[in-house]
Amino acid sequence: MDAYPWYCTVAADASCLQGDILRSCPVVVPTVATQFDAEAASAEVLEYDVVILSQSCDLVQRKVDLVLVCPVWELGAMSERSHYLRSTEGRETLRRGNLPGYHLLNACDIEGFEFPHLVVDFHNVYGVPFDLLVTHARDSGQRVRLLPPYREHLAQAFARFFMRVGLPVDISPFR
Amino acid sequence: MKTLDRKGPGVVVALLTSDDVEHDIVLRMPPKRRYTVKLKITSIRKATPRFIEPDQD
Repeated sequence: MDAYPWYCTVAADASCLQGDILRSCPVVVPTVATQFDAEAASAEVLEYDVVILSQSCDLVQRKVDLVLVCPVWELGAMSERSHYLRSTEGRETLRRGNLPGYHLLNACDIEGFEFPHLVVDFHNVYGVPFDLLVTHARDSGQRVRLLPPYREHLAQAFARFFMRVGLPVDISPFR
Repeated sequence: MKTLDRKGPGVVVALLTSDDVEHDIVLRMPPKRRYTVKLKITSIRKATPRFIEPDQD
């Protein structure tokens, strides 16, 4: 299966594309307040490992001001917090794409960039200013990039999560 | 769906395998690092639309 690798590495100054994995990306989130007060505004900076979800063409042609990213976690780190993900059944459900809010990425064995299976968390996505993201990527050195068709598979999983519809009255199951 | 389990007259419980259902679990993971910053609001203005011109073929 080496003919279809999941990942490659790209130079720090390479254009940011969908599927790029950025380590410790700062995300600025305004502190929750019931009413906006410009004099006392504050924010939290959250650092996540993220994967870029914005379309590559929008990034290359600079058609977006904010880049859509979402956090990724090592499967082991998530499993520590979830009994379900520690189970074989849970991991299989995740692998098969039956956990709509999550998407599993393969482990990476590129020398110097190794990581175990990653879980992409679609529940909280963030918009990072384009220039901030590019600067962070440039300052972070070489990075790992998810390759086609796994990149498109990720985008499709996000689309499925985003467009899902819960019916108030579902059709009764066939018995 | 694997089997039907009859619990009595008129009561049938379907036994589902994990393949049959989607599990909507949510795990709240903390960020790798978290700190607070004060913001200096430099301007407040009404946002204006930014129209992206379609590519010309």
